Amino acid sequence: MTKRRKILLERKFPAKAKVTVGIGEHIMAETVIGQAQVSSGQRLVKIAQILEVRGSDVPKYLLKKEGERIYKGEILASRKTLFGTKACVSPNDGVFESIEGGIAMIKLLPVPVKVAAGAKGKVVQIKETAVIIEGEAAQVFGTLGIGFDREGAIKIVAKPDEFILPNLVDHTARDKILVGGACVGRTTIEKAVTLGVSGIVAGGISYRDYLSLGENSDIGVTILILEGFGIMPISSDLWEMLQKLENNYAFLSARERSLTVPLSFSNHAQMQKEIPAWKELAVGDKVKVIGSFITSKSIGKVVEIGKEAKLENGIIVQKATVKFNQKIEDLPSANLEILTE
Amino acid sequence: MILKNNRAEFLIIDVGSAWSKGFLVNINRSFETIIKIEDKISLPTSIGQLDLTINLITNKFKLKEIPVILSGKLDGLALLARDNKYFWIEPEEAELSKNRFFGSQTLIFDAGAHLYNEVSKLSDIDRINSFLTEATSHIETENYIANKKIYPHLLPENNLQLQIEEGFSRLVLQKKLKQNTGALILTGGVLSNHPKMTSLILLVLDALDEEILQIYLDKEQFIPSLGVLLSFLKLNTTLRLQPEIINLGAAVQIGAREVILDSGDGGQKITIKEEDIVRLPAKEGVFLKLEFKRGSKKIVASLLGGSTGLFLDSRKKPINTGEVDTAQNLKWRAAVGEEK
Repeated sequence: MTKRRKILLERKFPAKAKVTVGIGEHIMAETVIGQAQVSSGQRLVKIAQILEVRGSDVPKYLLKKEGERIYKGEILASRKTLFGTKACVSPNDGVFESIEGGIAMIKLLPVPVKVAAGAKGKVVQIKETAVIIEGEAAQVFGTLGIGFDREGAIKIVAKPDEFILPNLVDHTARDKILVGGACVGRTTIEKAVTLGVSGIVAGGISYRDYLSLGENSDIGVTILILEGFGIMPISSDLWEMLQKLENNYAFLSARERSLTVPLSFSNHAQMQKEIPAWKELAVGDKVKVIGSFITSKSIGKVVEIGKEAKLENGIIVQKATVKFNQKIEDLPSANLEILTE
Repeated sequence: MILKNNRAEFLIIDVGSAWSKGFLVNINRSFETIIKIEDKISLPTSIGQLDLTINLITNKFKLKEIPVILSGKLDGLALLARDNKYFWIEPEEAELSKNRFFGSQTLIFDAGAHLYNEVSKLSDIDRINSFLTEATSHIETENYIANKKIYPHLLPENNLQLQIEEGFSRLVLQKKLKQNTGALILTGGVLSNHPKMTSLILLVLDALDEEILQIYLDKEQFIPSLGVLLSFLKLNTTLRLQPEIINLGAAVQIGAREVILDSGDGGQKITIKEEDIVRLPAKEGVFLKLEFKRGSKKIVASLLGGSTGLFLDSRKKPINTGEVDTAQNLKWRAAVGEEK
């Protein structure tokens, strides 16, 4: 976790774009940095099936020619029957691209898209497909990532020790990055894909679900797992930071296993610099327990580092005594992660 | 490398992907070659900041001006060795020296962090539960193993976690054992640190198919570093380690009801029930001759007694592929003499 650091944010355009900012220009998150014409793809219309004719007979019922501009609801083809007329209408605005085997291909019209910077900072490089912005951001690093890079505003949906149940994901989650929960399951992920959620950041996921989603594939939503496999409550230090970042625009990268939240002036004040590093465990260190079946111990403070001692299973380890909110426990020091401040 | 007065002292640092080990060793080549481990330290590897762990290890021995030999597979180690004027041994070279030294009939089974990348199929991992003495769900076992891939340096905190790690080693060992394996050296991870040697014996017995094995335990986790030292000194001679690798005893998969065991007293006939494990006392260093039939083939095996004895296994293999049978598992653990 880094509460504030300098970053180079690569804002990619969805297609070739007309860049509207210049190198060295200071921009705000809402500044439009480019305009692109995004092709929305194509749709197939099964005319033969709708008109109930053979594919080879479709051309004689067509009312539009190949290459012709068509509009949503316009009749593409029709056939008179004993009981009236069967008609096939265009599902979208577009161009009637081709017909083959009774199936028409409608190429959807490009949609103009204005791309906002998403981060406050300075433009340092302009590429054909992206603008590089130098700015400051908070970053949270996880242990696992699935999917392509996606972005959206952060929406907290569950407490750190709860499950993200499907009912917590509704239409208001569209284009958002959902944060929270000790575990996210496949059903919730599938619902999120259906509703157009950008990303999910949770404490854990079961190994089964993780494998079933495909380790290196994209299922339409980006997932960042912060702690590990199983029911893994988000540790209180991360949770505290994520709560402060709610409603901020953020970038999820599964490849880098990170959630990057560009900072504005207002949240600069809330965030203090924190640099992650390895260090030798010492008395007074703030630590969290990792990888245990019981992970709700959360954050504690080392009060004593003992010599070698025997665990209940007989294994001899170097023990550390850790004081949590309610109790004091002896734990293997290798199972502790130091939280630097 | 020339040893002054046939003696030398080195600090060998073996940097693993989870743990790094430092061994202060003393070599004496007067009558026989003796490699003595004077002191050792084991620390989690600070991935991304390797110098921290290495410095902590060297600092422990800083009063002694001794040459440091570094080896390991992680990127940046060779450069770190050069910058600190340490001797550097390529890990592949160390591996070759180690395998050459022990010979092709010895399997060195290292349960270090890399083990967790050897099996990832859920159906395989789910077989671990069959060997547990406490009930847990397949999902919890899968998650525990998967977390070991992310946090390989984590230590099992309770008996269940220990048995899950033990179970995973069993899965991998089953895949690695070959019929021509005569000796098995257990080292690394849960094996070197396991508090119960009889549990290790049972782990090996469960993995046995038709093998006859002499089982050793590298309690110090020194074998990988021994490869480094052999490479460095260009040694390929008989040598004595202090402390020695522990000879746990021998394990034999029996396909017959009757076995003749001769431990120098003329031989005795032993009858074994079907689906059973028999533990016979056999003192360390005592030669044992074992005769039995496997089908129509007569098998004669020469073995050595060890700290836990001789184990004859008449159970059909593979075993326990179904659901958890706690009572059965407890019975097998009792049969090998597992202390509670």
